[in-house]
Amino acid sequence: MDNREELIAYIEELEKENKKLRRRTVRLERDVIMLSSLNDCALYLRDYNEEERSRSIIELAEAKEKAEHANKAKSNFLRSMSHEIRTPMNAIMGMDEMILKESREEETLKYASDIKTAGETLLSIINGILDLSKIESGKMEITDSEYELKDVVNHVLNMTRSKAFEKGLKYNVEVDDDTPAMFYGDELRLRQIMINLINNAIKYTEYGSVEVLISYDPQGGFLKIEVKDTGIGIRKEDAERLFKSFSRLKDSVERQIEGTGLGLNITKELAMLMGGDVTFESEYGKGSIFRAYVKHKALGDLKYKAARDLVPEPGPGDTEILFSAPAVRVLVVDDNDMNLDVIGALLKPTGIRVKEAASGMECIERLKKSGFDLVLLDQMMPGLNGDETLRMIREEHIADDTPIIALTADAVIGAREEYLKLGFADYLSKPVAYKDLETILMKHLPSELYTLTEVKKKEETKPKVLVVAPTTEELDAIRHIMGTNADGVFVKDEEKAEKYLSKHSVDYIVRRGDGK
Amino acid sequence: MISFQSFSKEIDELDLVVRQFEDEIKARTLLKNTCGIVYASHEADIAELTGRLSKTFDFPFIGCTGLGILNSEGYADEQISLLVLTASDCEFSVALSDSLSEADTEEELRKAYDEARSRLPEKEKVIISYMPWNFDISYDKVVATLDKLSEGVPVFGGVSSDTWSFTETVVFTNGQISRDGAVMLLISGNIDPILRMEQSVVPVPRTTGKVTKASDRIVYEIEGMTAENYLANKGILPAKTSVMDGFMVAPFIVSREEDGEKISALRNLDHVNQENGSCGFVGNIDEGSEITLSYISKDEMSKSVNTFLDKLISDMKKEGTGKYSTILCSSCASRYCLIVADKSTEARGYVGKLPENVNFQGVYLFGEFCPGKGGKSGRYYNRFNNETFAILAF
Repeated sequence: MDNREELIAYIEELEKENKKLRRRTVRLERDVIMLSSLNDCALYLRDYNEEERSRSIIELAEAKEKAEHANKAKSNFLRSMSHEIRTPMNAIMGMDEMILKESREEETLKYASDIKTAGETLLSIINGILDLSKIESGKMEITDSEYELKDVVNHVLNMTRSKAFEKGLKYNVEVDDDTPAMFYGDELRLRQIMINLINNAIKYTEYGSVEVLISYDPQGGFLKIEVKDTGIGIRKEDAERLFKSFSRLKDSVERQIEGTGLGLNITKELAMLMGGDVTFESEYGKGSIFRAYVKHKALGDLKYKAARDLVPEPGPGDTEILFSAPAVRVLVVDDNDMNLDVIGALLKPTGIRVKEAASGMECIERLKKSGFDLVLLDQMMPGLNGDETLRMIREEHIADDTPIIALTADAVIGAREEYLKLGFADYLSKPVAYKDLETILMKHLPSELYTLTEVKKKEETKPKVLVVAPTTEELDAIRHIMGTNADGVFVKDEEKAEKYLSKHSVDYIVRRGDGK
Repeated sequence: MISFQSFSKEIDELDLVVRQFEDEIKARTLLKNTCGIVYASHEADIAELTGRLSKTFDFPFIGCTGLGILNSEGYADEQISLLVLTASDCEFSVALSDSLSEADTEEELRKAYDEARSRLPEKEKVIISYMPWNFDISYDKVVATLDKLSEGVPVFGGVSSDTWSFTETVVFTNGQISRDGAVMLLISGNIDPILRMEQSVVPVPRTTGKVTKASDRIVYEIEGMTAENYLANKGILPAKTSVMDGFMVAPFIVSREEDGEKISALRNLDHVNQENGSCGFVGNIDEGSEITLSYISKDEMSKSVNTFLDKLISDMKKEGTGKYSTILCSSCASRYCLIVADKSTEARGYVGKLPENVNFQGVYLFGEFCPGKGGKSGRYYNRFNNETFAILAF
């Protein structure tokens, strides 16, 4: 092949390549045109999408507003309904308390006691509904202050211990040695969380124990509460519904355990409001462990154990304190006659002179005419409500030095703070319990106006039973059977039984039936 | 049945290409009955290719052009791929219809079908058919006619393509090429075809409307207003009248009920008639259908094709070696648009995964023939589709 042929072959090769390149160029150009058209379409879609997004945002906002409106309406309804229920409850429970105080007939006392138990249950349901409505409407506020852990523990123990003992459960509250004594956080909400979890554990445990462990995580700044029970436990399929409002598990319904299904929901919401949460683990049929943690700041170096050892453990004594204040004049303002009667009846044993007013205006008129040492002022009244009445009293300087206590049926968490902000000296929730009323009086009346007399408590009439059985399980079983019908003393061997009998007398002795 | 495949990325030197095919096929043993399916880049000289193939091989073949071709080794823009099917227990018969027009589509198809059918000793199990792009012909009618003629035999194939000129699409068979006829291959005997399709579309919210007046591919009214106004109200109507290129990746999902089953297909918007406010689609839309604008998601497409092919290959493997030898694929040119920067996207779903002795051959088309399976009855409903990744395995 000469150079000329090589050149021709080379040119042919180039032409062939050129043809391919031109073809590819055409393809690329067509692809570009097609892509450009696609881009136009993409722009329409993008514009459409943006319009859709704007529309969605507006619709979302509208839906949110509607939902909020509906939620607000629901909260208002619950609040109003709870108020409506609380008002007659005040009369029922107040009168019932008077029967319990004054009656000497055993049967009447039993009926009154049953009314009290049922009333308290109903009240706790109403409180739960009110708390939830407040949480859902975003009005729940956390009020932090310094507090001592031992006060919380004592309060919680006092509120829960009797229920555990009534069921014959072993009940123990333990605080880890490294837990600080003082904290900064919302003490009231902490108490509520603990009481809810512990009461729940007691409620769902028929045999065995409820153990509470309190500890502190200094790194995260979390105060931790662990409540362990040997109760019915939670099925896996129920776990998701556990923290939902008004959702009750199949077991609790089947076993006819009272409740609204609000407690755990509120507990979790409260813990979350305090930067924490509530978690749980459970084995169905064996028990559950609930863990709550809240962000409460530890104050100082003093440990709980050291602080607790400084003061004696509170315990039930043989005596009670009687409050008496015959020189005191109290004005009770309420548009409901029965409520006025209840307060009057509750105050009767104290000797306090009670005057009544049925409206805000009447209250003002009475205060203008004569002085009172304390005013109990209802909130929801026709005409001037409590808040407006207080404002007029203060504006007109009618009773500048008189403590005015808000009386309200809207008892939700944080209510006290609200009333203090409005200028009330304190707050008393309906139904009014005598102990709460007495505490308010002692707190706001000058000490020279009342006396406290220590008197011996009315003797218990329950039989005292000595139980002797070799194992804890057997003792627990007998404790459970006895419930609150008798005062039991439980020992594992005869030696201890004899030792006890040498110093005390008992009505009955129960021994395991094996002849020992 | 067994299959083997010869392919070449050379599309200019067709003598070399066909010689290569011949050499490779000679090395194989052909069974009693044999046929070929050819996919060729539209840039190749199809007349020359058809002539050379016809001279070289004595078995029947059908073919079509495509703007992109898939074979067992992957994707190529420029390629000619020959799939040879050979069997002792299957029969193959091919035919090419005369020019199809709106008026005589049914008649011409009947003649071609009858011709192909007459050479088979028993009823076909599947029809593979291709036709060129021609907006004057209703592709739905082509599919419906074949469905009617065959009494419901699955119809697979589609509309041949080119790189967006819509003028270089052809179909061919032994000694003949056509720019307006339909070519078909009927297979009878021992095959158990699998037909599946995959559509990776995402509906656009609030674009669903009921077609209140339509005839074939023309939709006059949606929700009681002109189709043009309806789309304009949705803010998705372009100013120009010929819009198919723009709406290639934004098809409409068209749903209608048949035998109590809700059957859906995708339809591309082709043009807008500003004189009467109607819209023309690539494919029929019946009155009473619901249409929803959608778009193809590239990411979703890649994922779903992978999953789709994995499932298909796994099902084929379960049947054991020998039952399946071939996967034919019709993928929509609209999908090609989305993967133009990475055209192997769909090929990656099968390359390296195919069972032993199974060949894959596919082509990007301007419309796909593939039946949808009724959810309740389990029977196939022959359909013309857009935007589809359709598979026939046998």
